[in-house]
Amino acid sequence: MNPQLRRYIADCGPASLTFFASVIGAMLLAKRVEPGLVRLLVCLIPLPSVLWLAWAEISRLRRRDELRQRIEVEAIAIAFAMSFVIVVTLTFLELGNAFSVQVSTVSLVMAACWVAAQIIVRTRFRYWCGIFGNPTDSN
Amino acid sequence: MNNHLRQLRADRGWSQGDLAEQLNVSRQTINAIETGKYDPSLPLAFLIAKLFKQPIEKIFDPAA
Repeated sequence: MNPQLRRYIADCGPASLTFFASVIGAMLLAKRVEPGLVRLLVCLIPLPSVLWLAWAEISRLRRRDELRQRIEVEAIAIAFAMSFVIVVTLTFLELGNAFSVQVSTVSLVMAACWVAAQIIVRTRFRYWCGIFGNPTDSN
Repeated sequence: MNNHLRQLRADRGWSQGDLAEQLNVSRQTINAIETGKYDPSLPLAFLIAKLFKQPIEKIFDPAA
């Protein structure tokens, strides 16, 4: 297994698994509960795991070396800009009654933008800057 | 910014991985510094200078 992937799984794996399990569990449970306060509380079950995942990601970023931190921060900045433009555009389209946007769409847009930004930044550093591109240049 | 890191490392017979381990950074960071694609932070530059027992200005050349 790739060492970086192994480290990511060690750092964020438990939080990610808990997040996905709690989201699926909350979704299944919410369907069986009558609308009301209890259902709202059931829908909020994943919240602690979201906070845990955020804390795990930030801790991981802080432990990385300075170049990796720069790459990650650049990816986060690009992802923020991309998602901001898309969400604002969707909001304006909704104001113009073009179509209705669900709140859940925003989280999907943010996730997609984060993945896209990671690919863009890693590709840029690998192929344009050549930072990861010299595996044989180690002696 | 140019630097003499590669030469200093080679003089000691260290690989990029060896140097990276001593400086507690990734091998990619050492590679990026050596090829001039990344300028290290001031703390890392001081750490490099301390490791090679040379002044910073002898390792890093700001004129380039």
